[in-house]
Amino acid sequence: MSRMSGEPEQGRRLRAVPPDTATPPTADELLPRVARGDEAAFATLYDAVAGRVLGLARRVVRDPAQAEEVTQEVMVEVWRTAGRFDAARGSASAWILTMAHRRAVDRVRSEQAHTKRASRVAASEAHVPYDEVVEDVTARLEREQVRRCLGRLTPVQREAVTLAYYGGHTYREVAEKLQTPLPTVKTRMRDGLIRMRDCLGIEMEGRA
Amino acid sequence: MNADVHTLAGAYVLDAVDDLERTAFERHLAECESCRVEVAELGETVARLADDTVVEATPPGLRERTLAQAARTPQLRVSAAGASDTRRTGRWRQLTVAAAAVVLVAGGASAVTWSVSNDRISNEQASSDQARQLAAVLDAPDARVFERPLQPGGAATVVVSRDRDRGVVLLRDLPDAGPGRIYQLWLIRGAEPARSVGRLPEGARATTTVIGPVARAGTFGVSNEPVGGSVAPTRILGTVELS
Repeated sequence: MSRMSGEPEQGRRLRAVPPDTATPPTADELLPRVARGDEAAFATLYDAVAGRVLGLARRVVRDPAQAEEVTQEVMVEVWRTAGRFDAARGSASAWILTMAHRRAVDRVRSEQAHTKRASRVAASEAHVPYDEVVEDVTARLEREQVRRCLGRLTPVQREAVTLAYYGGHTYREVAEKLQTPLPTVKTRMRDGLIRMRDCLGIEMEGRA
Repeated sequence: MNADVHTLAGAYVLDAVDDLERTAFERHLAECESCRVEVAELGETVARLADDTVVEATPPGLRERTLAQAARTPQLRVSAAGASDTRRTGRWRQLTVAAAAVVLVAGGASAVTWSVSNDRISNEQASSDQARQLAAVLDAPDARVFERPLQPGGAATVVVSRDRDRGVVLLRDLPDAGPGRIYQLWLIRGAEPARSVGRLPEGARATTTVIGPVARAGTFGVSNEPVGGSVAPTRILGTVELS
């Protein structure tokens, strides 16, 4: 791939735009326009983030049809509540993905029967290949960074974090699965994320 | 800062908490500036975990459906403060409204059973009849709150307004009901037969539900029943005296 040479651009984690156009507006730029009822901005925002929302939803809920429903619900909710987004509290993409994760998890918890859930968990622990077609260099570098940073956690930290995030489990369920006391699991989740944060270089002091 | 609550920061940003824990933690956040920074940072961190998932090619139909639905969905008007209304609230009400406010997608068969949704929706945004019913109970001047742990696990909170003749039930952390079994909700008055006021969907271990009429009911109960429910409670998990 000849595009491999460039440095990842800051703030371009959300993409979905042909390479020959000018730098597309970021989710952070689009969201205030969406909040003012700008439907074109919403369509652009959809193109920029829906693939990631759908990918996350599928990872958590497993079922493609349900993942699409979650994606639609989340994007409409983004439209509806865009005015509540507060840039001081984080990035637009984190806001959207947080909403997506919560909704995916809620769906798993409210609808999944016990047996379905068991098989879903097994599936979510399998390696997930990624789709080259919609993958661009920036996304790939970011994925590698996330994997590298996940690799720096202790095994228990990593397991606690991934079971909760990708598996949609509560920390109580994680404690049961890992046969670890509840306070330990809570601590491992927090310590693991703090280590991830430092590895990813995320810093909010100036923003919050 | 309260160290015990604060250790939930990781589980909170991972959505690995239940509704009441989320509510408790958010109250803690409201009072703790340094916690807000930490949670914001950890929230950004967690959102990056989504980078390690497949970016899906979205089907064209989904885009059309989403844009069309958005086009007919009114946008939320955000008040200056953006915060929820706390004028009329007592302590319990803050807790309960916030917990209930995590609610709100109408959930399937029963008109009064709500499933928990991911979005915090406060009462002024409540758009459905169910949402208004819930807000009506929580807002009622005579609303009273009753809480009890359940056997063999979980807890029940019931808010009752005799004036409105409705109650709001919050259940959390129920144990797995078991294969082919569900939880059923009851109101009991004296020696009369218990009256069924709702059933949880199969697999559900938490709920926020409006029940009623509650006028002279003295006791709320939760029982474990076969899917489809029973005409009278068989395995009772716990009861809450409503007085």
